[in-house]
Amino acid sequence: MNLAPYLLLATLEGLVQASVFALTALGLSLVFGVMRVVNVAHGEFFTLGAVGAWLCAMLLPGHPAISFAAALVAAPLAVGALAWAADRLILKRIDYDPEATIVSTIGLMYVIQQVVLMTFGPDARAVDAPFWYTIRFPWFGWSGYKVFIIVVAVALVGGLWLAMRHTRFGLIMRATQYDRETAQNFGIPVDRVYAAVFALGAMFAAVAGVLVVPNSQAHYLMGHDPLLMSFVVVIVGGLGSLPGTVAAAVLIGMADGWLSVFFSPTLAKIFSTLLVALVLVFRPAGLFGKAVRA
Amino acid sequence: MTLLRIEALDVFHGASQVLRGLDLAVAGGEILCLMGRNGAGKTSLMRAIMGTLPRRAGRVLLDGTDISALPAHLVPRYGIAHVPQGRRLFAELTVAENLEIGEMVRHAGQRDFALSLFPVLGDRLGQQAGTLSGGEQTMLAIARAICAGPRVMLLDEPTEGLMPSAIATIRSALIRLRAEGVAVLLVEQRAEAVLAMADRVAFIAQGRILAETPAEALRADRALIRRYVGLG
Repeated sequence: MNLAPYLLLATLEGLVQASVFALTALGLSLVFGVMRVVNVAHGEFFTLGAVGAWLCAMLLPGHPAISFAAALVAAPLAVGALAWAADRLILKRIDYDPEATIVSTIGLMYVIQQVVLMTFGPDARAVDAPFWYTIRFPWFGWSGYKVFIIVVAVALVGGLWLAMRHTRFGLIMRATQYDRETAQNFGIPVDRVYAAVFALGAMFAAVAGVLVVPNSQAHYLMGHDPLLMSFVVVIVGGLGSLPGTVAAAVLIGMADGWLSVFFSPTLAKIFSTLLVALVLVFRPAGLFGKAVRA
Repeated sequence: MTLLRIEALDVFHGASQVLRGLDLAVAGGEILCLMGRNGAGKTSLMRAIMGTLPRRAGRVLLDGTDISALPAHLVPRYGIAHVPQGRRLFAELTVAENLEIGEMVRHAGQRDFALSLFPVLGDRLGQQAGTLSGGEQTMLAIARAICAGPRVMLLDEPTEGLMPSAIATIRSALIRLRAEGVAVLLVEQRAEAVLAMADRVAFIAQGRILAETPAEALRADRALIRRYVGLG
């Protein structure tokens, strides 16, 4: 049996999975890293991105590329604004207390989910891909749109890394992450940084939601799996570690691709579960994580 | 001229009162040392001045302007810089990035001055702050505060656990800051350090100032330090 086509397909599908995992999990990791908030509503921001893409497709008939491009800009901005408001109205008021934020983001998750259900109904909504192009390999054809997903993810992850390392806002975010009180002592408006980071984290999830929807349809419960996989990725990579999150997303995404193609998707889920269990037992701070400062 | 004035300051940690109607004043070009036992309220006073520990009553005046009601992140922009106990550097940022954080406060263009006080930092700009020696870390903490362009500088036990050579460098820097007209409020436990650079000494106990005295009087009669705080 010639394994090459299977291996190639598994690798390509794994890269797409890794891209979506990285985008979604980076938002969660960023929020935890800077704010020490475990955002249980993160999956709903993913859902809102997908629903936003469907809404744009409804509002802007014509070539799907136009509505998709609009969604790629408008949906993350709208979701970011919602997250910013949630930070101001909920998280700031409970002073970012770790336990209280978990409970309140569970509440936020439920509210968003029900509002999406009441507004858009329980049906899955399909959205056309912005373009149709098939890449011809000797053994099979593969969607060119999936390459687009990988390219956007790499660009956004790279852009975030560059922003964190080489911009003033990145420096402010890193300083706030290391020591909130000292950052405040040097004139950094920590509350505003938190609101911006919460919005940015949500925007990353929303972009992932927009990118995924041509492949998987928008649905009010679609945020569960991305939330779960984001937690898997950040636990394995190390909570708050951006390089760790990307490395774990690639590891789990590729494993998911290979195991799903060669064995079964169930085995891929068993692998990621086992990986989380092993990391929790032998390296609780994650592969790239450090002990959290009090 | 008085730059920093604290009037009837009350501060609580939860239900427990840590500062009780505390009054204190520091003039520009003066080093005021604050001495007291552990738990007397020294660190709480510094955090209350910076606004990171909520004030229940009283006022903090900077050059006559009441800054008590300001949000904590605006206090440094008025010209108060803090070198906290344990330095609290951004350990994973580089030396240059730590200085840049200081410069963001008032864009005072003080980096060259700070590096002239601590030349060793100039050779380590690209190094992670957490990898510096203890003395260098303290120098960086002070340099970072200087980059914020302070008129008032609060330092919480900066010489704790340092080698004599590092202490001498830091002492020279503080004396230079005094010469530049900066008001320095220094928490210090070591009598030698206090006597070497202070102009005045205030003794604090149970959240109140017990006594204030010119450092000259302590140099003449060191038993006074033992009498007030049991330090020697």
